[in-house]
Amino acid sequence: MVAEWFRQLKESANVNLTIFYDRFDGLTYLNGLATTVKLSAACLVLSVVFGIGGAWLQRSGWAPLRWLVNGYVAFFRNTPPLAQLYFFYFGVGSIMPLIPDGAGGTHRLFDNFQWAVISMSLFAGAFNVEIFRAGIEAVPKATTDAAEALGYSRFKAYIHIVLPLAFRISLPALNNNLVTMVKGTTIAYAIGVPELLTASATIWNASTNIPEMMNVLMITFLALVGILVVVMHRIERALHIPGYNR
Amino acid sequence: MSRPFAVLLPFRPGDGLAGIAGYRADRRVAAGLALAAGLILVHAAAHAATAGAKPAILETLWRWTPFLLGGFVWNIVISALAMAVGTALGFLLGIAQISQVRAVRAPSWFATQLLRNAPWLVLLFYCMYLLPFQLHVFGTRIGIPDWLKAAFGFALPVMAYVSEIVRGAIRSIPAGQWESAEALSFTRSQTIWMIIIPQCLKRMLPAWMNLYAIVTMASVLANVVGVSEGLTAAREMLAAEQRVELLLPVYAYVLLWFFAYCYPIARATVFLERRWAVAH
Amino acid sequence: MQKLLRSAALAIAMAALGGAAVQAEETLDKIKQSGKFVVGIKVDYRPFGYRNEKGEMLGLEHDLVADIAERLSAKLGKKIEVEKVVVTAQNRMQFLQQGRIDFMIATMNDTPERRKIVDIIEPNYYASGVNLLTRKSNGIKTWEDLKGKTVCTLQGAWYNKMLTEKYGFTAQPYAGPNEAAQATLDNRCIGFLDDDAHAASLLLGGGPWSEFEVPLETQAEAPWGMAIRFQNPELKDMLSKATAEWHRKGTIAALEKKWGIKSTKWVQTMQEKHKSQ
Repeated sequence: MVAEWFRQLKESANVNLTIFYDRFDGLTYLNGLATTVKLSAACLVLSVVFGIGGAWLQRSGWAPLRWLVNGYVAFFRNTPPLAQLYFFYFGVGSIMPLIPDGAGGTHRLFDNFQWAVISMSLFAGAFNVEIFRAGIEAVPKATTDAAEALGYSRFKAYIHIVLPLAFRISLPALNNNLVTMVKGTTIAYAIGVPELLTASATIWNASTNIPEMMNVLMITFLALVGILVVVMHRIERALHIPGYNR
Repeated sequence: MSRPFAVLLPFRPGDGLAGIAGYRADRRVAAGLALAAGLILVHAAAHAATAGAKPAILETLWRWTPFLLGGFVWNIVISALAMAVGTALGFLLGIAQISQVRAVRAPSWFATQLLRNAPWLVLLFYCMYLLPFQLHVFGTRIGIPDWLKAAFGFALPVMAYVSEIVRGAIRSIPAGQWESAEALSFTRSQTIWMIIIPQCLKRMLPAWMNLYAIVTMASVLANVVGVSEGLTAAREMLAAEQRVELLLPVYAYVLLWFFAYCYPIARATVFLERRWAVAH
Repeated sequence: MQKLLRSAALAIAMAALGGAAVQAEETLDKIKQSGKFVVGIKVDYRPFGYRNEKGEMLGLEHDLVADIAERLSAKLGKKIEVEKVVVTAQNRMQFLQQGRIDFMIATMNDTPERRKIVDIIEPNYYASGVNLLTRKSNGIKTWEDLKGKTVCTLQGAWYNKMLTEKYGFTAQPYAGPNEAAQATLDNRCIGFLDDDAHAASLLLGGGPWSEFEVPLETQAEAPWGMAIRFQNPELKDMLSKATAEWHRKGTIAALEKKWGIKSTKWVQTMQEKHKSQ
């Protein structure tokens, strides 16, 4: 019934929204949406891990470790994420070891979805390292001194006292980075990951309805980002540190 | 239990606090070392993959460098143009966002939010497919090359970001400035253009330079829609050479070019930020 | 401020209106006037069109374009220069429709849907079908073996949706044939859904491709077509005659040999057909 209305829309107003009346196109688009969400979630988790780990290593006493983290941050913040993706998927990916798959053949270690996650997490993680560093530095020295006075080891103080505070302080910047990352998942189009942009391109290549699909794509992303921003604002307000003005 | 009388101990960089001089040197050395390590790793990997054809790879890269550089120039052209157009339009949009007329303020806010929250690649697709490729103005035909369309596609998000930077900078000017201007009977328009904006420029510059680095990196996206630029040149080179062992070095080479261009900008931004730090 | 906004809006409206104007003049006149022959051509599809390290564009289709330019120069009585615009499978038809290029020769399969959008020259100049480039060790024997597997494809290929629906595999679309071929080499997918001319040229290259084969029955065989916009009868006629002459004189077969392509039966058939005319 809904499909019929859209089919008629094509005849009457020449607005061809095949995703609503063509089963293959509709499924393709929904799969694309699911993949985008999965990609964003995986990158979110991994980039936060990289950020926290990097911020911890940046404070280490051993200089080469600090150099490594700072070099990682400098490199990943100053090179294009698409070029990084190509470098990882085609460059590094081509020298990855072959592992046997279940069906008797072999394939490379990471597939394109996994490389997209790795590459984008490394990119977002570099920014997160800086964000967490700023957050950690914003924790008052008095607090860390108090922890020291109470007998916390450096590591325990980091986990139990500094990090929770730093996290709450840096939450707005983290949210900004998250929105940027969700928008950035579109570059996975270049390596064939079946996310939203790839799905839209597949649909408009077969059905030649480019303007309609682009508008649907834009609306979908605005909705995704909008929901994310609203949820993030709620969390920010709930975790806001009283008396700490931003 | 940590060090007693910690305050009496000599300062050690790497304690996690801002020992500014030591921290800066750390990062420069770090970046340089990371670069060197990266280069060594790439060569080692490529060497392992080809078992002895190492000179051929370096020599191939060197041979194709003019071609690759020619493509990279387009990245700079596209990003510079996008910044120019986007900054001009974004400035106006930012000022429109603080307008007292609701009919101006609301659409400006809406446009800014729309362009900020849309993926850059989607905006690029929009411009490439839906903008006309030539204009019929006053009877003559003016062709719009596709790099120009891509530049416009990037100018859209730049416009939104600049609008936010301008709005943030204007809001950070103390209210006293506005009040004094009003007391001296400046009109609102005069206040904005003659008093507020000149003070904002310094505050906006670091964020604006940061945006330029971001746009230069984003200009690579144009390769996805078929515009000839640095990454396109790299792919065409690989298509012509058809050698698997070139993949890693070529992409690493492209990354290095971008790093060499964007890292100095990032350092300059940090330097300016520190020099012109304004108490908020 | 208000004046600025108003004049900006006016300029944009004018530009939009102007841009929407339909191209009404004959392409041949346009070529004669400007002395330029704007063609859309590929540079990422060796050996039909690719670049060398000096940035020069070469390939089988580039040679054909040079031949057409000579014929145009002879016909129009002045030297016609070729201006090449790089196209991909995704934008070649749009560029032609919008008028960005006047002529398109970009390894495009001739299909009824495409004939509705652009004017395809007859007779066709080349032909190929779709096949799978896969490792011999994968043991793929029929199209049905692909069910549920991942196959590397090209963005913009017309047969993707049809074959995906028919045989139930998952498509992994790449922007260019080289990326898709590289992904296939890396075993990211069971095979590369490529047109058999390109696959054959890859196999000829040897090296890592010696472990590959093209085992399936060629599907979706479609001749390739050069295209121009509709309502250009003179240009269409000239190009048709040129193609017929290519087949009659064996130009295409000679070019196949030059670029190292295994001679195809289709070309031989066309040659015989036109020789007898």
